[in-house]
Amino acid sequence: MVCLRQTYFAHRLAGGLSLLWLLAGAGSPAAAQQSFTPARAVVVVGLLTGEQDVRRLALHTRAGAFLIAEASEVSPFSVIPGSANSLLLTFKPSAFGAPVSLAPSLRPPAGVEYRFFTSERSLVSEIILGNIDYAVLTSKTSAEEIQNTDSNYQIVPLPPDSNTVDLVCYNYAHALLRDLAVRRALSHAIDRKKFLRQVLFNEADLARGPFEEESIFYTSAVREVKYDPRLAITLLESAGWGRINREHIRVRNNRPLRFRLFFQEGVKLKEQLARQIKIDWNLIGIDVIPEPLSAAALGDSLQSGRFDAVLLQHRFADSPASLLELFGDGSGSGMLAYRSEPYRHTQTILRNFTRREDIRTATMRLQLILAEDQPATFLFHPWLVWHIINAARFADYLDANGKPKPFQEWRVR
Amino acid sequence: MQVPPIPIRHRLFTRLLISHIFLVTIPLLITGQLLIHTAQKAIRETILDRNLQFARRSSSLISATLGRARDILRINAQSPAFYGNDRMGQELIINKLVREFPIFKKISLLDTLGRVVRSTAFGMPLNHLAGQDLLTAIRNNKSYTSAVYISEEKLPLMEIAEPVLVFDELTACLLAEVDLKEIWALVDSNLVGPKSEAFIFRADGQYIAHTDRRQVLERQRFEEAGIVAAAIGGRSGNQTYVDRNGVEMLAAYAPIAEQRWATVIQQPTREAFAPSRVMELQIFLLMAGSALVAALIAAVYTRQIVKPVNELIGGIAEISKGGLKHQIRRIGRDEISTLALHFNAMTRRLRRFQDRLKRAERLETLNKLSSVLSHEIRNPLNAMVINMQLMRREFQKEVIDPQKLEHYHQILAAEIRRVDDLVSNFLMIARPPKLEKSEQCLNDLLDELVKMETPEALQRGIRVERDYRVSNLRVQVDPNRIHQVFLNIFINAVQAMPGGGRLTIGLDLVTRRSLDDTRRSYAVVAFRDTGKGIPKENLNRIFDFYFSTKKRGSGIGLALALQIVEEHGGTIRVESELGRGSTFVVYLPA
Repeated sequence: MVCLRQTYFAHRLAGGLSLLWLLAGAGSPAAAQQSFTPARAVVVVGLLTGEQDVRRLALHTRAGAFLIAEASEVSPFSVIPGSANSLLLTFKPSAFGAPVSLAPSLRPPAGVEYRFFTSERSLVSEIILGNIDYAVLTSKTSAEEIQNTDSNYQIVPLPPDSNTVDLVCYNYAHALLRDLAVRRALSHAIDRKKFLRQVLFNEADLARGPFEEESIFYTSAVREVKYDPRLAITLLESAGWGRINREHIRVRNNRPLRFRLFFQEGVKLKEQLARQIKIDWNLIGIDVIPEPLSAAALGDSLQSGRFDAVLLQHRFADSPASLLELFGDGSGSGMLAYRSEPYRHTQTILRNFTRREDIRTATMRLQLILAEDQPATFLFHPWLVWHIINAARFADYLDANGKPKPFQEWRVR
Repeated sequence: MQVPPIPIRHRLFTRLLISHIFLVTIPLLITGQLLIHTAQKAIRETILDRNLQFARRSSSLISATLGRARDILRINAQSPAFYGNDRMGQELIINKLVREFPIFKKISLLDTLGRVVRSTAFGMPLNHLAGQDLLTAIRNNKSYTSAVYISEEKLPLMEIAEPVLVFDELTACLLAEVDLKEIWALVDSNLVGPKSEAFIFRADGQYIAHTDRRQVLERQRFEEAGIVAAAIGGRSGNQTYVDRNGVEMLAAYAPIAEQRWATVIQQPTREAFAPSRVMELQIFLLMAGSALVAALIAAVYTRQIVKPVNELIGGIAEISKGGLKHQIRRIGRDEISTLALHFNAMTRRLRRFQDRLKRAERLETLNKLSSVLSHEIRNPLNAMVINMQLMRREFQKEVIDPQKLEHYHQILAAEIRRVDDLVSNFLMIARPPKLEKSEQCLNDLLDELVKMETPEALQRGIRVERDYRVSNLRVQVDPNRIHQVFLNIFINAVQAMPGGGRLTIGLDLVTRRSLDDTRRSYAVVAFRDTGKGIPKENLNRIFDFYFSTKKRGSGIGLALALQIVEEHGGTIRVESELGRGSTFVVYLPA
């Protein structure tokens, strides 16, 4: 069994990261000729394949973010071929100015090495072994374990970007999930408070919509979707899903109420949440099959529309346009194939608004429509993520606001 | 007599103090050592027992945790959901188990052929086969426990399985992957000190849990073969060993018999027995403090003992200098104080004896004076009677010779002067006039003497020389009487050189020990003549009254000189060599 599991992971890892080899080749010819040596003067960053799509991996600098996949001669870094699960960038010294440093006697890192892990547990193990210099964890228990084990690491809890939300999105193109009653039943069947209490230790806000309370687009008019499994069953029964087969799955026209739920692989919280959702939905006779995917595969599935439901974390920018990115314009052309005439109409008139108050009102209206249509079940706004930094190897890694600086501004001890 | 000071180590105070301190400290040290030994033993036994109890408790907890996991699996294996093909019901149960009990990393349902038909591992392919050991156990309707293995995530895992039986017939099997990381927290709770470690190892020594997670993640092994053998063999106990870093460790171990694992709670012996050392230090400080207090008390007590002795010594020293009037102060009521009382009584008696002696001496002197006076006065009186008779005869003659009368008159007058001198000197000795001291320059006094007496000395062929080593030497003296001293010695020296010679008068300032044994400055006036010298047998007598070797000497001059000098607090020393001369040295307090 162990061998099977290892083979399986190896297969997934090799498939998911084969792009890294291509990326490595995309660097400058001169850089490509250098041998891959994981020099300790580089910042070793641990990433989860379930959270980071390597194609969207970017190096953040003061001048902006540089997509590594688009590396070229003019990029401020060179990509050096690495192993199947790592990627090494070397900084071009001339590309970065001389930032003000609290430790001018220490030299900056020569580059950054990204190491990819298929599970959070593997990443935590590597951190405890001292092989990772920087990582961001979403699990408080993992962060606490590191803190209790290795005092060399500084744990910096920081709020994620505003309007970050965990949600379950439904594919309108799916024959079963297109049904509003089913989507509403699914939303009412998830015991979010239990998860908040037992797994998140109450360190998150229950989400009513895409925007957090601090956002100007937040509206309290959107009602909280309460956990009510009886209402969920009633909704399903009213939609024709009253019959239950031998396997205790609801059926309609001999078709079981079954679909797949994609989620981010290897992320402990997401797996726990997927399990919670599966249990909750199983209890009302819905057969859901959770399936973990890498961030890349998840992105592809969303883009191509080849999914039933997906549990993901999404960040909405503080603007109505951010709704377009996930929900589309309501004409069925978006990732979720969401189709809603009121939503489309509101989006259309929103484009003509210039006054801030009008835009705000229209955005609130869009949220009310989303709450009514339930193309997604909004779950939580997480409070914190934990930045793990190897303080024994690096200095001057936080800016004045206590946030991590770009890697090229760190200092090697 | 000059008494040398007593070295500190020989002083009575030092000896008594040392003996007192030893008397107190030695029993204290012995008691302290016994106390330290007993307390150390008790503390060590307590620590060993505590650590062992921790290890045993940890083993019990881990055993109970694993037993509970097995019980949970066994109870759920009896659920009717597993009897048929209720897929969702089965998935609900195993997923709920994984959600509620984090120790289950994954639970699978296997059919009778050992194929995985349900699993909580999302996205994992089904239908893979279980191992032969598991199948054998399950087919015999027995529980199954695998060996511990390390996962790809570097975590220690093990598998447990329970058969699903319907009417004692195997229908399926629940297989759980147990995440042994969940027992790490139990191990962590057994730390007994800041540098202590707690860990669990399996039969080959590989760590399953360790407070230092790296040991598990790096698949390290516990290499202390003795402890591994004993613990895996089912024994518990304590053992010390030196680890790979050279640190001596105290390890308490207890077996987890069902799994063939063992728990070890260990810490550096230095840390483990730190309370013992702290106690040792405390007792040592207590002993040192007690010794110090004892020393202080001994010092005070010894001082109390020695103080009367010192008083006695001081008193005796005072008396030895002639201070018979000194009374030793009585301190306390002990034997030494009684001795002081007796000593005071003795000095009082001595003083009475001294007074009597003085009176006797005075009487003897008076007797001597009386005989000398009667002899000295009778001679002039005889001469006067004879000359008076001669004058009478002359007056009875018809022709008086005035020259004869004048001659007789001169003799009479001279004899009367001689008697007068005798009486004056006698009075000077018997009732010396009170000194009238004033500050005088000795250089001037001596110059005046030399000026007055040198002409006569020169007539006798004597050259007078001055050898002053100091100038303007000023002292408190009675000038008239000191002049008489110098004059007497000068005349004596001149008379000692009838054939001429050289008289050198020296003046100097020296520091010397006085009679009371203190050092002080003296003006020294030395008269060195080149005369005939004084015979040895006479040297001790030349200052006696009326001792003289000269035909017309009165024997008063030098005696009177010594008396005057002594009244000034000084003295006169004489050195003489026959045929070469004498030196009279006058010491006067400066």
